[in-house]
Amino acid sequence: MADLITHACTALLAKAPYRRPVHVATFLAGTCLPDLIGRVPAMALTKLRYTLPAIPEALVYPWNVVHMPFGLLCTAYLLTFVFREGDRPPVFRNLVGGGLLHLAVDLLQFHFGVGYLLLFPFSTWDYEIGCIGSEDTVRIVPVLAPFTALVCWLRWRSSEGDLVR
Amino acid sequence: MSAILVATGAYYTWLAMTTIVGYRECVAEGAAREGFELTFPLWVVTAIDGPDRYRISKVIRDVPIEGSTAEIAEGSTVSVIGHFRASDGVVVQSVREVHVLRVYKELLGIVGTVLALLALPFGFRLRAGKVVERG
Repeated sequence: MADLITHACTALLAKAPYRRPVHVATFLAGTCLPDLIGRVPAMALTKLRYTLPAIPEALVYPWNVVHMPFGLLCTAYLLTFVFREGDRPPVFRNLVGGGLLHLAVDLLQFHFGVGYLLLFPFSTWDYEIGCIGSEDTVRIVPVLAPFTALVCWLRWRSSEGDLVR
Repeated sequence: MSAILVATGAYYTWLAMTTIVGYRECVAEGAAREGFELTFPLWVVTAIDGPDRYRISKVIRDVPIEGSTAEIAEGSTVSVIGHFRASDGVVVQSVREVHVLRVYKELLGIVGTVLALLALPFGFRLRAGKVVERG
């Protein structure tokens, strides 16, 4: 996984070209979803097991399916039920869109061992493009974050102008 | 849908715990796994036992590795490919990458998580028990 700052920046940049971007927060939430539900609990439990070995190993693994397209679709569908009924279709689209953007960015990374199981549970075929190292996004953030902030500010200024006109 | 998601998670867990031959299986099967190639992606160094011996942990604690300890310390994150040696249960390292920037990546992850949680009320609000996106 790339870091969440990089994912958030790519989400904001993906929405920036729209004249009147809508559901930005939902798209952003969708971009964070695979890591927040699919990775953070697994990583926290792995570290907790160092001090509390009684925690069953089986609790570490199942979260990972949220970091796969099928698990992401299921999770996004379930999350739509906390929204009002009329809002659910666009919320679902934006959660899934953000999540898929997250996976696309992660696919760029190279890892030792197994890549991303894109077709799980239907297949255990794994894939990654592998053109950047797994920590290379750390080097990108100092440029990407200010650039994203600048784009968002320019976008906000132009939309203010639209409203005045 | 929640049942499908839980079943998918359970299937993944079953695969991870039963079908992948890892260090535990090598130790259990001993000589039958002599020379078996093992991969340890993003494991944490938990002990340095000498100039050519260290231990790494993730879901299993303290897997002994034979390989140079130059450039690593306790707490370093490493990815290791090595071969199992049945006589003493040690993995002989053939490839190792030290993830020097991992700590910064984790820091960015924590900052991102905190920012995401702090930003939630600015992006969404509650109305009649349901979440509504602002704007």
